[in-house]
Amino acid sequence: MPGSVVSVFSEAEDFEVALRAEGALRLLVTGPGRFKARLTQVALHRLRLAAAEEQLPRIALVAVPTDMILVSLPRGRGPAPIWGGVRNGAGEIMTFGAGQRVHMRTDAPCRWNSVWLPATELVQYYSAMTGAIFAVPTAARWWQPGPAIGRHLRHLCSAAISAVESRSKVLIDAEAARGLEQQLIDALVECLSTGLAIEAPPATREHQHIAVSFEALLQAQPERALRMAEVCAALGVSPRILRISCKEQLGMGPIEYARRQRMQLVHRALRSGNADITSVSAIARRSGFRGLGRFAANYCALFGELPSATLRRGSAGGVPKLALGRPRIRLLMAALTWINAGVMIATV
Amino acid sequence: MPSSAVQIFSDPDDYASSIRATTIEMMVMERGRFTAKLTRIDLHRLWMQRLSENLPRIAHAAIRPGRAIITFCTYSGPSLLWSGAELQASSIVRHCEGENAFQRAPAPASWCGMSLPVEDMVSVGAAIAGLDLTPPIDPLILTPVPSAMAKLQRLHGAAGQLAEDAPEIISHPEAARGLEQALIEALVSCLGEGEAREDRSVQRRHSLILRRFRRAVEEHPDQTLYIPELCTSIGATGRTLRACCQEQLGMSPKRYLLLRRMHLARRALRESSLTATTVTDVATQYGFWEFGRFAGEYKSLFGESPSATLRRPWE
Repeated sequence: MPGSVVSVFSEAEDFEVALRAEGALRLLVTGPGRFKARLTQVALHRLRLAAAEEQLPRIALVAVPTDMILVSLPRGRGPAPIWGGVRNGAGEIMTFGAGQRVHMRTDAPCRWNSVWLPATELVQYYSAMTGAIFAVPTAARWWQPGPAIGRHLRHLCSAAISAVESRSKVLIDAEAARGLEQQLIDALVECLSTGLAIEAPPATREHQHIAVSFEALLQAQPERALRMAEVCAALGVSPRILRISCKEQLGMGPIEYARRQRMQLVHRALRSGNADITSVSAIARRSGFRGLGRFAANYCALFGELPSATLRRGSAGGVPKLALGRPRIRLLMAALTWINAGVMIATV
Repeated sequence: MPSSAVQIFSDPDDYASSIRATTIEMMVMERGRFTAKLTRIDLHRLWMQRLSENLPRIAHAAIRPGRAIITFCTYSGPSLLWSGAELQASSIVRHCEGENAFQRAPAPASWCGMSLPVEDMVSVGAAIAGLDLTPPIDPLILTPVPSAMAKLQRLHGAAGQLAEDAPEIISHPEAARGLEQALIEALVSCLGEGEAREDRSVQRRHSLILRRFRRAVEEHPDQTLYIPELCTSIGATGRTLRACCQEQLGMSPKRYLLLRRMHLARRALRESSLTATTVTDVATQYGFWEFGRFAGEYKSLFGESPSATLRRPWE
C-alpha cells in the first residue's frame, strides 16, 4: 500500500528503531553533540525508498533480508556514507543483496538515499528489459553508471522525496505510485545493465566479514568488557588483522568500538532509569566500567552531559519520558487505503 | 441525404475525435498554434474526408470495422508515414477492417480518405471491373497507373472545393449521385490496375512485437504506460522495442510514452476543475515528479504553463 512517513529525531535510540525498517540492526553514534536526524520513508507497491539527513557521525550494522536488494545512492554534495569500508562515491550506486550484513558508517553530517526492492522483481524486470540475467550480488558491489542515466536516477529519487515531504498525500493515488515505481525500475535497470560494476577487493571483503563477526561477538555479551586476546581467539584472527579490519570498517580500533558500545548501553540505561531506585555507579559497573571518575569524564565527552544529568532527565516523570521515547513527528502520514471497503483512513 | 461540412480546429483532440470511421489518439510534437482543417463530404454511400494539419504529429489510429477505407496524400513529399512506410501522392493505402497502426506526420500534412460500406465496395468492384475489392487481410500500399491516380486526385480535390464554395451542389441528391459515380469509377480504376508495393516496413510491422505494442497502447487509452511493464507484457527487450519504435514512430519508445503522458496530463488538466485539482496532483498521477522540469517541458510543447491550462475554462 503506497504511503510515506517523514520523521525528525532528536534521540539516536528512536532513530535506530526507525532505521530497522531500513535494515539497520544497531546504531552507534560516534561523534559528540546533539543528535538530530530526519528520515523520509516512501513505500510504493513493491519498492521502498528512503532518504535521510543526519547531523552526527555514526555506525550501523545493516542486514539485507535474503529476498531483497538494497541500493544505496549518494544524495547531494556532502560526504556520502561508507559501506563496508568503501565510500559511496559521487555518481556511483552500491548494491547489497542475498542476506548480506555490512557496516554502514558516516564520518560527518551526511545525507543518503536508499532503494529497497524484492530481488525477484529486479531479476524479472532486468531480464525482460535487457534479455540478460541479473546475478544477485552476494557481496557489496558498486556501479558507475553513465552520467546521464545516473543523474536521472538521482533526480527522480530526490524529486519523489521532496514531493512527499512537501505534499504528504501525493502517493495516495495508486497511479502516481505505479508511475514512480516503474520509472525507478527503468532507471535502475539501465544503470545496472550499462554501468561498470566493481566488487570490493578480497581483502576488504575479508575485513567486512571480520567486523561483522566481531560485532556479533560483542552483542552476545554486550555488558562484558572483553579482552582483545579473547576476541582474537574467538574469531581466529591476529590482533593486527582485527585492528586493521575495525579501522577500515568501523573507523576506530576494536577496543574503542567495544568501549563505545558499552558506553551507549549505559547511556540508554540511564535514560530509562529511575534516579530514586538506581545510581550511576550501579549502571556503569554493570556495563563493565570501573574508575567512576574517568568514566564520567569520558561519558561527558561523548554525550555532552554528566551521567547523573542523563539519569535525572530520564526519571523526570512519566509523561515527558514517554514523549522523549518517541520520534518527534513533524509530519507523519501513512495513508492506508482499503479499496474493497472504499474507505480511506489516514493514520498518524 | 448528401451533405458536407468544413471545420477548422485549433485543438488536436477535438480534431482527432472528429475524424470519422477511425479512433485516433493524436499527439502534436512541436510547439506552436495547432490548426487543422477537416472537410467532410458524405454522398449517398461514399464518404470522403480531406484533412490538413500544420504541425508535426503522431497518431495511433484504430479503424472501425464495417467500411472499406482507402487513404492517400493530396500532395507529394514525405508528409505522411503509415506504420513507418512513406506515402507518396502517387500511392494509396487500402486499409483492412479493424486495422490499428501508427500514422506519423513529420511535417505539415495533407491527406484524404474515402470509404464505402464493405458490401458496396465488393459489389462495385465486381460490377465495374470484375475485381474482388473485399478489404485486404493486411493493409496494402499500391501505386496505381499515374493517369488513374491523377484523375482520382483531381476529382477528390474538386469535391473538396465544392464543399467549400458551393455546398448546396453537394446536398442536391442528383448532383451528389453524379459526383459519387464519377469518384467510385475513378477509385475502382485506381485499385484495379497498378502494382501493389510490397512494402518492407509494412511487412516488418507484422512482427509480433509491434502488434503487441500497438495493442498495449490501444488497450490503455487513458492510462500511462512505462517501459519496464511494457517490456514484460510484450516480451521484448528495451533494445528490440527501441529499434521497432524508431522505425515506426521515428522516436524511442521512452520518448513516445513520455509525449503520450504529457498529452494525457494536458487532457486531465483541461478536464479538471481548478478547485478540485492541483497541477502537482495531475503531474504525479502521470508520472512527472520533477515539477519544475515538467512545467518547462509542458510549456515548450504546448506553449502555455500547466497552471494556465488548469485555469482556462473548458470550452
